[in-house]
Amino acid sequence: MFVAFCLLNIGAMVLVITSEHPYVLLWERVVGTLGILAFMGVGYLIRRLSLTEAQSNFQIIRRKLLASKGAALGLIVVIATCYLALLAPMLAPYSPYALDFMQMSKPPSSLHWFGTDELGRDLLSRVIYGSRVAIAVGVAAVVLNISLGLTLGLVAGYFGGRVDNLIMRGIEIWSSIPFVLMAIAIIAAVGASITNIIIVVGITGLMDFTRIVRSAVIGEKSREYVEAAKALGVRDRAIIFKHILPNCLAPVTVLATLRVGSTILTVAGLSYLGLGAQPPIPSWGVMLNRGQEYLAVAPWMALFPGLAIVVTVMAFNLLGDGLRDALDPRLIR
Amino acid sequence: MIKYTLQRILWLIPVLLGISVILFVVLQLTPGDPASVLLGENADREVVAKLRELYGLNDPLHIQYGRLMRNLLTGQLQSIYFKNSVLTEIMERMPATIELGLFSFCLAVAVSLPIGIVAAVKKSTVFDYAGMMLALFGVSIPVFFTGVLLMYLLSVNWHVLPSSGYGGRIWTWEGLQHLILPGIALSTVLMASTSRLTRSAMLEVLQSDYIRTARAKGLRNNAVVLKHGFRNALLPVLTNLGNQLAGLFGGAVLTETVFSWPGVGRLAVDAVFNRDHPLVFGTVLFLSAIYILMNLVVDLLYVVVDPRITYE
Repeated sequence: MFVAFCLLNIGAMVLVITSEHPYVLLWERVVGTLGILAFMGVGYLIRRLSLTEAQSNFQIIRRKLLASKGAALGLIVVIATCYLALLAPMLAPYSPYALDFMQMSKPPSSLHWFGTDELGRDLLSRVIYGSRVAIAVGVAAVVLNISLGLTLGLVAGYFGGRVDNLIMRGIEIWSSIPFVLMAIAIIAAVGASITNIIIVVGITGLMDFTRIVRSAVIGEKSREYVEAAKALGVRDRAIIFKHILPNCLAPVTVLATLRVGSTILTVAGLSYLGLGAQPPIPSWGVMLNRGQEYLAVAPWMALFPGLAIVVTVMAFNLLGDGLRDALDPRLIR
Repeated sequence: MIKYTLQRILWLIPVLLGISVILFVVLQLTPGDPASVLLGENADREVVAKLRELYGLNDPLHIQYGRLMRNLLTGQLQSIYFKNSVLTEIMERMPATIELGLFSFCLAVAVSLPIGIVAAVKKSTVFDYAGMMLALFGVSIPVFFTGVLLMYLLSVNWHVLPSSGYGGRIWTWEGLQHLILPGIALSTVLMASTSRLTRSAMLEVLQSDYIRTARAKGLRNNAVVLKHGFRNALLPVLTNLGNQLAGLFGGAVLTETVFSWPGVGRLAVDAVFNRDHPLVFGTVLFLSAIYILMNLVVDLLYVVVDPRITYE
């Protein structure tokens, strides 16, 4: 499997360097190269971890994860989507912005596999480029969710008492506002753009992470190893980050994976409402919105971006469910 | 119990105040001011200034907030765009939102509970896999895509149902026809999550000792599954349903937009696009209040479903 992975990366690299599409920019080649190197680094790390001890925790989880067909399929699709996003300029047959007034609203054909939209832009290229917005916004928003939610949860759970009360009350108020409406209100205030949508979704979705981390910390706090660390005079910050945090990461990983999927849904929804990425940036939500207008004459304009959303989100859900089953300590036999 | 209920109701006050402050601050961040948006780009400066004076936009923030809250509580808050009381506008659209929410809720419950129960009872069979595949599909498909697909198949292609809009109250034939498509679209997510949850809750319950006892007593399978099993699996399902119903009333923004459904969610979105700050404030606060109240009702309902729970 590792060999196949290496071959895939070498192929991708060749594609990045030799691609002759006139609209592939230099920085996109550089980013593509760096991205592939990063993928290879992660792959190498995973390989080394799986080669070390036969019965390590990592090995057990990995074996369980891949034993589930759904999770394996999800993983493959997620990885494929990541490559698609990274190599979009080299893989897309046309530029996503190129107008072609001779080819307006044409159905799928050998020239344009997914057909063209009302301005003659190639839909396949736009769907491929759309994966960039989806993955980037989804991952960035969830990273923001985690970093804020994790910190609040750690502080609330570890210190308890009034700090805990204050944070959890705040979270309770924050989460009782209907999420979509809050996002809409904030975006209406600060303006619609990709950066703003990342920030808004990143801030409005942190409560689940706070709750989950808090309860994990409360569970870990009373364990002997924490008391031992305290008795040895280890500082609070070190106890939180070096001792407690690593033991709370399993539920966070599961939630984060599932959350990337649901964030892609949310962001597509907000884009559909006109509150996310602005045209002409190819984003699946906006494309679907345009497609609805031309539903009677060009249904493929709505179909393909919609399918792209479904496939991507489904892959993240499959992977998240698989991870949950693999990481659930109650299931270890 | 009464003390607990009162405590919870009292706690609503700071929560709603908190939300109103957050909303007020968010709305203050908006770059363009409502007066000049209302009058257009090329409006006379003096007229804009006059309008600002009229709406009190020059006052200090805490005074603006106080006035906003006073007007809201006395029902005098005026929508800038509709030139009408915010409360009237909301109440006019509330029936449509409730109809849509209840319809899709009932649909989801009617479909998802049987799917979940069957999937759990016939675990690892075709029924289970098919049901769970469907559920996975349901949580992964965006509601506006479901909407567009249904619209294409049933109204553009086959001309069976009207594609969008509001046809009248639910008990009229016209109204019901218009309700079906948005109702199905809105219910998919709830359907999917509820059937997954029902399945896992049932699986857990069916492994317990009293189920084995019930079977050993020679009870019929249906009685074991429904009376002993389902009743005890209901609690997590009920929590989810309650939260989701609250969400259906508060967050059906997308469905309402796709199908041009004249509900409160769409009113809020339109208000945002029209920069109608009082209306945004009113609608979001109103929907949040409903959401919180529904959640409170769900918490109190636990006691009815599960007598073991007491709030003392």
